[in-house]
Amino acid sequence: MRSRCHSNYVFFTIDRVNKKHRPIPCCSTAPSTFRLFLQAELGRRCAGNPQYSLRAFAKSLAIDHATLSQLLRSKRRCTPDTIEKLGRRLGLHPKTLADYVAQEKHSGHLRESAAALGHVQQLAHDTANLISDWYHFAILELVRLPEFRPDTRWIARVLETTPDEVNIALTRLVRLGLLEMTRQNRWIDNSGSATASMNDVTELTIQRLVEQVRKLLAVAERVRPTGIVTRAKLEAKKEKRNGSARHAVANHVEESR
Amino acid sequence: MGQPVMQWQIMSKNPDKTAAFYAKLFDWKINTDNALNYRVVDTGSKRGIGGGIWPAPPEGHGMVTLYVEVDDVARFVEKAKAVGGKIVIPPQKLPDGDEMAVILDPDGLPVGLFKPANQNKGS
Repeated sequence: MRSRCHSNYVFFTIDRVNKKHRPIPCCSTAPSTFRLFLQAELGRRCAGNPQYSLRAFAKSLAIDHATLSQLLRSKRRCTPDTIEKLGRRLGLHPKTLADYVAQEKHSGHLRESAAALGHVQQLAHDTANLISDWYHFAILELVRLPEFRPDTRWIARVLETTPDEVNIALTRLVRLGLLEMTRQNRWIDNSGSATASMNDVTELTIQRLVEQVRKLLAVAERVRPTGIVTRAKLEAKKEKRNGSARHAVANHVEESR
Repeated sequence: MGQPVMQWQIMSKNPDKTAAFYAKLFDWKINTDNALNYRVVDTGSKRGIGGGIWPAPPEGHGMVTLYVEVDDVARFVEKAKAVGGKIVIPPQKLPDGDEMAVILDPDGLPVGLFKPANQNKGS
């Protein structure tokens, strides 16, 4: 059994006679991601044996070669479970393996945080448009009328706008939970009582936005200070400084436009 | 019955232009004779799945969403939440009788769930 230096870090090798794995020593100059490590390891094996193939590498790792190919080409995510499984097969040093797993978990949190931010941005756009476009409120008013017809073309005619504008508004209202299509011919205005005003509707949507921003902050707190987290923290500070949650959300909406 | 992907939907910032483009390109027939003025696309083939075109808001961007047919939209929405999805549009009963919802998968990609009005009639 022998170890080999390549690209400034020490790889493990498989003893071709005894087929025993030798753990890869922990090394600070190891590839920065598990995917790069896999690529480097395949490259190293191919360099040592021109006949060595992706299929052979997959077989040694006990996974399907198509799956391995996707992992190497970034077409498939290296999950913590995958890293654990393949890392052990490759005899990675426990600390290096733990670092790769931790890194992937952190990336997962970042993705989750980015998805949550996207959700909040959508909500911010919806809220901003709801406030600025009068026909959202007008549609809710129409829904309360006995003569109401759940028909985009009818609503467009009444409001003298286009069916597409109505449909965009309907999507926003449903997404914000202000309108619900409960039955084929029945829509419900969830914005409040029949006396609800534009301000009530606006306040309700802003409250929902605040809830979502809080959820985003909770997600962001789980990751290290990144751009997203920094921005969320800044917003939290701004909210505190302004002394008004509504003011802070209005700022957030304005920034998101 | 399984849960097959049965419909695609193009969200377009300019749905008229998009509809005209595909009609010219593939001879697809676009029909808006329904309560939501939904641009239902007939591809002219019995193979493949049908689709539709829906307006995207000005601040959004165009995208294609796949719709998975299920027998109980509300149940699958709950299931989506349990396995890490998020709800964008909770279950809605559309004027023509179809039921739909939109969820986000863990990567933030939207996926539609729908139950056609005629599902129980064996269609």
